[in-house]
Amino acid sequence: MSLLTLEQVSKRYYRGRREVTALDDVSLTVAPGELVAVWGVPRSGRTTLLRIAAGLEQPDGGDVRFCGEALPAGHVDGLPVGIGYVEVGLANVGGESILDHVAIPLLARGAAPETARERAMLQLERVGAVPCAHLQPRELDPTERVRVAIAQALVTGPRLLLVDDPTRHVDLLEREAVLLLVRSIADGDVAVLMTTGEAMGVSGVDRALTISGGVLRAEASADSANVVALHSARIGGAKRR
Amino acid sequence: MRSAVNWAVLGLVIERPSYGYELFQRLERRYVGVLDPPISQIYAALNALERADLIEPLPEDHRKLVPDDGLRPAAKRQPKVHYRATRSGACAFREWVAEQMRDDPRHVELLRRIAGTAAAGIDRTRTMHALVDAYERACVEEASLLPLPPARDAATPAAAAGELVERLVLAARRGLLDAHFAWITYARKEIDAYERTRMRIDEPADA
Repeated sequence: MSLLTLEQVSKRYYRGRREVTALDDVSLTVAPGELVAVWGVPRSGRTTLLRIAAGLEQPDGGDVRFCGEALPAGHVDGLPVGIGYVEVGLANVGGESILDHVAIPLLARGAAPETARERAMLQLERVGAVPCAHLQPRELDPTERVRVAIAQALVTGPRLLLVDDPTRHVDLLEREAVLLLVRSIADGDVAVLMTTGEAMGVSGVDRALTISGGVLRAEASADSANVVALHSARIGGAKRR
Repeated sequence: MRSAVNWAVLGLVIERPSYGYELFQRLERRYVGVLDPPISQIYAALNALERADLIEPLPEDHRKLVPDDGLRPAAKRQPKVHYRATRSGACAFREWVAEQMRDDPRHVELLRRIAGTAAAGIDRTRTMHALVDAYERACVEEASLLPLPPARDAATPAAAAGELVERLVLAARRGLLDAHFAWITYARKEIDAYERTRMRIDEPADA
């Protein structure tokens, strides 16, 4: 059974009196443990797709189901139980350490502060960001921000992680490490639906789709045997792992 | 020379002089999941490269400088022919790497077809969109099959140079795919604009 299902989802915005289509008849599934990337330019509808999948926005039409049921109402942080949402661009708030910041979703759910911090530290370890634990958000570099944002999204133990363009502000030489981290999370049995704005973002994913004008268009999956045949004779064109 | 295995073997010989079985093992490690030739193809590649004067046997007295692989006692081994790259082999490899970084001929073909579609037939914009859709599928499939760059963990300077070349080739191919992806978005808008213009003007073909 699919973990996440979007069926004929549509979403429109109004800019003054003008209607703008953000999503048009979008259908998509994500299986447990699957890593799916959606490749699109900014304003293609890719972020709206993630926000609707997270229940942060309501579609105008169509269905969104998580674990076979209609998307449950959001918790205190606006996210349904079982879903983590990674929006890179951690607020430049002062005061709290990164450890406390990562623990916030647990504290909001009523966890004891010590327990919340212990679990937050485990997630910082998981994403390779322990050295950031006692820094403040404004002290992080772009790559650390992504790692910390992922740790914060993982701290509640989601089954599905939604990640919005994780390499967008990351230095060119650091991007593969971020993508390998996302891959490792999916390998750890947390399904990932990720958007990306570059070809590198779809490397090694289980399924890649493109989006433009709010429409999902092309799709490539690990079963693209014809493509493997096409590229097998070319150095640099790898068969999927 | 078209064989990807031959080019891969040449690249490995350039990194350091070597012989058939050792090249087979290095190629397996380096191109895991990409190239999977039997060892006989490695020997065939060495023969072809030698015939083309791209590699040459290493003189006997130079072989002592090549590290032992420790696979079998020396007394039981067949004499191994170590190869090194010739000057023309190194030049040819550099040209081949540059060739890998050139634009995709499919893109040129797509433009030719769009031009042909614009010049004839009905339902033109639909056909153009279908061509662009197919090209987008090819791009996303290729992008998803490209590996992430190799780790920077080479043990020798020559291997580090090999990794550097791989990373640069991959970056070039990804850069092209990014450019083509941006072009696809632009092409869709242009085709829609073309359709609006075509509907506005009175064309004899549509009369």
